[in-house]
Amino acid sequence: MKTQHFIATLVFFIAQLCSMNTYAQSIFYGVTIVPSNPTSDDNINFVRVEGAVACRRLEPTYKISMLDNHITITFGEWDKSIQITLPPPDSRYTDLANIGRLPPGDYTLTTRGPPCLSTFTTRQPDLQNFAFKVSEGKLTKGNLKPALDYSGHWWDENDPGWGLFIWQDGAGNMLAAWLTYTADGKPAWYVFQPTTWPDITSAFPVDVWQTSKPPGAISPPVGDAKLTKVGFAGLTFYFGNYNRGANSVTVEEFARFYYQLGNEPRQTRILMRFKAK
Amino acid sequence: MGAPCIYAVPSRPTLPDLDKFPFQVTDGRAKKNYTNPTLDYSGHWWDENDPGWGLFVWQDSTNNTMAAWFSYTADGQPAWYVFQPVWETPIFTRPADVWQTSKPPGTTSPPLGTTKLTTVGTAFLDFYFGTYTRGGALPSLEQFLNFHYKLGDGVQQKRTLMRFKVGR
Repeated sequence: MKTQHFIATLVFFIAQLCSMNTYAQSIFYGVTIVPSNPTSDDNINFVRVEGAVACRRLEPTYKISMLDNHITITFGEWDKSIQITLPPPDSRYTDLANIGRLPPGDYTLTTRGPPCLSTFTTRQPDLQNFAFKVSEGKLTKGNLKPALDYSGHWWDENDPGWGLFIWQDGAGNMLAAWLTYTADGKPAWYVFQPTTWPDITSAFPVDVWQTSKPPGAISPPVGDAKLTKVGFAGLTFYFGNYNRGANSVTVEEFARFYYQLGNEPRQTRILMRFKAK
Repeated sequence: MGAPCIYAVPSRPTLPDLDKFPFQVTDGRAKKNYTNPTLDYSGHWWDENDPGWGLFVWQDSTNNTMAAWFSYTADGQPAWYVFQPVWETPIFTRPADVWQTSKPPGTTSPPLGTTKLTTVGTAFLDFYFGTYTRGGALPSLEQFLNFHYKLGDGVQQKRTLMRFKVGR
């Protein structure tokens, strides 16, 4: 079991970190929602990209409302005193609105708002009752995946200067990048990928990796990353009461981060989601 | 054979289900002006043609933004930097100082102590949507990030990153 777990972790990691792929990309012009076939795990965005000269909108730049699964995005007025001309290939204006995550179901979307008055702009139309479906994202997960999205920056506010950056997708795959220091105080970063969840809040410990690259002319140099195993780490997430003083207690997310690096003793640090003061 | 053990387990109150629990969602956009990003760019951004390094972007509801750059020096040794860009428009930021940090030596990793900041360069971010095609797959619309940076006396560089996804 342990061997299978190790191999699965290694294969997954190497596939992500060391595979060389090629792709092509070009700037999008048009109007749509992204992703086009969202699930309840997706953060849904409205995107409208127009060419040539752009204007800018006054506050509030947009508002969103929803009634009976019909969503309306109302964009703000244009500031007619200002036009922004960006040099090619950046000659584009983008109307963007974050709709957010939605429960599974059928939705329609209507957008409103005055178009830019510039005659140079290639106007993309508003959407009228644009129908889209949000499918259930939880169905394929089972009970051995994290139930919540723990993506974000986690830190120890009593010992700032280091932390964990956690990436997690809708299928419950997780990648943690640990920005830290060696015992002599020099900066170091490691990665680990929790793969096995005995319950919806705890991940079994996995190997911690340090990477390096072949020398090159620029930073970072181009070339395959080399992996070196330096220890192990595990995570347990929980909710706790957090006393902010002045009788203000809030419920916050915490992470129990336990790890061992090389021959150093095993350690446990309590982290919480990073918030700007 | 002794009598079966019976343990007294302290009873805990059963927490009820919520039934029509009222809550209100206020408008988070109302207080934001043009220079605030209209989308949440939080997440891990990478160059899938050069994997092994990347940018973690953290952004909160008031659009404070921090980027942690997991990278390597030119000699291939791992190095990480942070910067906190301010938004110029909803889709690109002003250049910000890039910092490297260190701690005083200690007995554990990471050692306790005050973090020392050293400015090592500048960086700014430029986000856009692009049509993405790989192999024979149908094109999809994806988020991209032009990451502009200059470290020390090095040349100004631009790397195009996209959101990290498993299985790409």
